[in-house]
Amino acid sequence: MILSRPIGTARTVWLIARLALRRQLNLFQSARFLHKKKAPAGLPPGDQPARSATATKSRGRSVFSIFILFFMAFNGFSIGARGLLSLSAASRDLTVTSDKIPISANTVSGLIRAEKALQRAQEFYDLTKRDEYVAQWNRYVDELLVWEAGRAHLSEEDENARLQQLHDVFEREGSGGFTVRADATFWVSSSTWPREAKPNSIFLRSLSLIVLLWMPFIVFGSLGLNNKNLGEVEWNFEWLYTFPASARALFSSKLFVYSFLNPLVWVFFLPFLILTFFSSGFGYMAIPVGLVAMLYVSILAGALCTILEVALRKFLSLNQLKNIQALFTVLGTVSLLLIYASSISKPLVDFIVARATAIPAFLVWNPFSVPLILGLPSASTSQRYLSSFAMVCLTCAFTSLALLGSERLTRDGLVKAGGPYQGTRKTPAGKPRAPWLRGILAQELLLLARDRNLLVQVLIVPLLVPAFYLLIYSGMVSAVSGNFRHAAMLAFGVGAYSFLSSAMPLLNREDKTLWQLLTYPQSLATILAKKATLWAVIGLLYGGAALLLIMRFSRHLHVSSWGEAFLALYGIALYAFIASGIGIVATNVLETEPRARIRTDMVYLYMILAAMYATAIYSPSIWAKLAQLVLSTLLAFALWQKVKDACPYILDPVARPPRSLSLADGMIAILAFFVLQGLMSLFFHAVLEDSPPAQITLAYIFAGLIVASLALYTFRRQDVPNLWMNIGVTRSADGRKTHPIWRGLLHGVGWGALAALGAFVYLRVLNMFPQGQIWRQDAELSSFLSRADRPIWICILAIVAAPLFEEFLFRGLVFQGLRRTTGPVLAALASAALFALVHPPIAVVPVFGLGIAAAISFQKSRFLLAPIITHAVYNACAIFLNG
Amino acid sequence: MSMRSASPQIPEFSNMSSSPHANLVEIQGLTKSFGGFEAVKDLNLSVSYGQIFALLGPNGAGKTTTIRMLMGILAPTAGLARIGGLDCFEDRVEVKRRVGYLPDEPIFHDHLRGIEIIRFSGEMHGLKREEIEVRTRTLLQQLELTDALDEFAVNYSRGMKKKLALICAMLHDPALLILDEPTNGLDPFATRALHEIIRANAAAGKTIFFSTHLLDQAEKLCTQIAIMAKGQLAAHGTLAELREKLTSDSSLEEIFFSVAGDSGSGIAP
Repeated sequence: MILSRPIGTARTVWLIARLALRRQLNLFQSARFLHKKKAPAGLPPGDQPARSATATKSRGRSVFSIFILFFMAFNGFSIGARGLLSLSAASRDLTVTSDKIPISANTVSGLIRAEKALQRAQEFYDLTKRDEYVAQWNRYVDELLVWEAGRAHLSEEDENARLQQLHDVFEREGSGGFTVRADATFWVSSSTWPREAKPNSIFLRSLSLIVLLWMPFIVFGSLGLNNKNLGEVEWNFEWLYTFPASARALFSSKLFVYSFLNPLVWVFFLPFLILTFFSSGFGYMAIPVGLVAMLYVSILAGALCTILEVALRKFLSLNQLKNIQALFTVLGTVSLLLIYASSISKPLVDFIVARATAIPAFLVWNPFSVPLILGLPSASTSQRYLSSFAMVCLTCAFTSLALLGSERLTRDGLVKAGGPYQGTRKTPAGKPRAPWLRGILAQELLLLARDRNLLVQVLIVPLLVPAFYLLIYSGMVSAVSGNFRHAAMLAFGVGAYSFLSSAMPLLNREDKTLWQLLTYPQSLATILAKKATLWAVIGLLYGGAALLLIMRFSRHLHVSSWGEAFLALYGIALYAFIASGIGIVATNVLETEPRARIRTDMVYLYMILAAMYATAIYSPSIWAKLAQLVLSTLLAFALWQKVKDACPYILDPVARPPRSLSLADGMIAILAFFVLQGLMSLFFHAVLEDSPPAQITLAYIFAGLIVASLALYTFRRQDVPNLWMNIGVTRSADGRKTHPIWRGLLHGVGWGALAALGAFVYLRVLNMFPQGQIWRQDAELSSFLSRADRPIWICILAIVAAPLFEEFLFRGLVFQGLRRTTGPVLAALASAALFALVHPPIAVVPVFGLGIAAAISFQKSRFLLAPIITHAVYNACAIFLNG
Repeated sequence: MSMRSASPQIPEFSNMSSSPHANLVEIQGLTKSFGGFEAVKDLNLSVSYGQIFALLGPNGAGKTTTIRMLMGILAPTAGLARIGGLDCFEDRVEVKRRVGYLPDEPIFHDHLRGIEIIRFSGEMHGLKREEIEVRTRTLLQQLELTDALDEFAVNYSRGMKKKLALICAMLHDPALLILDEPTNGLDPFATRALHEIIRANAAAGKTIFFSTHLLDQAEKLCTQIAIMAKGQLAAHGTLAELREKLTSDSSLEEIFFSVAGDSGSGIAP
């Protein structure tokens, strides 16, 4: 009989740590930014199999990973440096006994110069010259103090008060009333650690508080954020337990992994410690000393994590564990935010320093901040030896306590109970729910109520983050209550942010339970849309609550505020669908690695889109708002059209939806058309110097030709079925009897004349109001038509080129793309809105009418020539009526 | 896409005698390839009403891929799969009103109790609460899952999950049950109960389409057999017909090995 050879403790630790490290690296590498598309069907045999779901390693990705790592480490250094500098400044400020006001060095030197100059002015004999000179310098002082007061980023009132105070002090005491603020430098030097006795001790105590703040982050972060394992039935550790290694060896490896393989500690905590020791004059020795200090703190934290995890598993049921994990996630996140805030928020730094002065000095000798004593510039040799000795003793004590404690806790077995009844419920399932609460809605709400992790991510984190920013930037409170546009933006921001964790991973959350949804007689797209609606409602509750709260305290409410409130709420509802649409399109449900399932670049895309919408809320221009509204709505439409197309193929690794005309194609083509038109007019501007109308017309025609042929070529290559019929070039694919062509043309002429009449009436009405007249004159002055000196070019552009290309884009692609999934009314309205959007403000209303008329004539005749004629008739009337 | 929803010629095949289609399940030239790998090759099968149909084959023969195409989860690369005259991919929503599906390895949401999953399934099939209660009660007694219903489904053992999924599949009284390795992971009692359920359903005029690699199970239960090997149909017919084709009186095991090849040694026949 062959017996497996027993392995020693060290070997066990090494093997398990290597496995954990490998896993971390794989995770890191699989977080890709560019998704590789699945291999297409019909791949020749011999190529790599399309079924592999494991990310292949590539050199490019490794280089990128290293770059990211460097970037994060750089961030760690810069955050650490800012934290140390502000702590150092605060502990110095606190001990400055005089009532001198700390300001920046630049201002102080400026004030000294001004003071000298003003004194010199007393020696002037010429009174007018003296007054002029004094006035000049007084203006300089004013500017300087305004700049200084503005640097603190206070609210308007506080800023004025501060300015007044600075002026008063300068009047009374001159430059002697000020002192140089200590945070003027922005990099840590060996003088950052204050050498004077009192600031020195306060700095040390504040640092020890910061290190204590790191402890909950490391411990709770490891148990909560980084450890999906905690609430799972199968514990990795159970698997390890099946190997012939002693429990002690296994727990040692756990401790080792917890201590040394936490990437956040390496990336953020190590730079902080290195900078700390550097600031006390260690020079390059700060790197090894900082490393030792970090390892020491990590081992202590690792020991705590180990014993805590074992104890939690021993005493709590699985469901309780999940809730505990959610709690740990919150605690870890809050402490991370606090650590971050402590490096940039002045009030928080002051608070920490104030606490630090209150605690007795001997508390610095607590186990976690002992290594800081090594860095104390004034530390005696004996103190250094003592703290080193304490570190060695405490390391041994913590590790052995953790190991022995874990062994003792598991002496009756590894987990509390085995078998399928591990998480037995004491309470029976509740009574049937309210009758209206059925199906998807009921399940989604139930999951939200049960899954505390989800609850925290979806409902609490979106509140924490804005609250955190309000805490850091105290000016934000007054900004929000002072200007309703800020408030509407904030409300939209809260809603849109909540969708990052609620609506966006909507499909991703289904994970392996997706099969269940596919057995029901409802299309997956419908089910997903229902879920998105639910998240839209929850986002609206958040945004609405924020708005109400701000309105309650707001001082500046206008009529226009209602428009902004509407825009914010509409935006929240819309962005629930945009977020879920992007999330669904970006999710690869077949991917097994959780981090690679959703494309990270799409998350950034969503944030950029939301930021653009927020800018529109903020913008005072009503046109910008309207444009953003229309574009975002159409974007949501286009996304969900894609979702609807993709859903049937979602679990198929190779098949893809057949190509068909969609709204997205039309929107891309329109964008390309306008970009190309700009480039082309640059080109023709260089070629034909003298004739602007010719330049514009030629640029328009060439851009239109290029975009149209590119679009058609792409559609042909992708084998879009019934392409020519869809865009209205031929009238029927199956030779069905349709209306005669002359009726289509008649439709075109009739609707064109009607639209022109509408435009004429509109301009007449506009003329009756003084506001309208000014508006119209403004528009005409800038209009291309009134500048034109060569009518032939205008006629070509307005009667031939514009109808041809614009109708192809807006009716042929956009209207028909919409028609594939929506009714004619909605498609007409949406395509007309987009059509109006690309015209100057004065023309928006009549052009919207033209868009509707063209859509009707297209729908009636199913022939693209009809709307082209409508458009041409309308433009001809416009030129004729303008003279 | 939008045209599909209300075409009038969709047959209601719950009333099987008047149905224009002779076969409930029609598979013609069905092919599914993953890149260069063909999981199912030119499969032709038909299952008539009231049959208990077993799809046999060694691991990796393409049984699950076929079933997933029947459920509209995978799109066929070529060929047709129809249930009751409806295309399994194009008309998948209509098809699912008539079909119950039990996957090989059912996975449920972590935070839902068994009874809640059953209720959800019933609601998604448009059943009233009372109907769900009545249907569930009888199925639960047959499968002996009543005690565990208040438990979170994630804590169930494999067999219990399978029972739960089976209840969900049968809740709307489907005309066709598609079961992927139904007894995989079930204990002997549950296996016996499942066999009884299958027989009772067949007796009530339902059709059962199940895949298995257990030969004795197929031999005991089914009225029709198809054997798949390497994505292709190796044999098709009743047990008697298959026996006729080969030497008389051979067991299903012998038939299986002779048509599917000795997959144990990995050598093609």
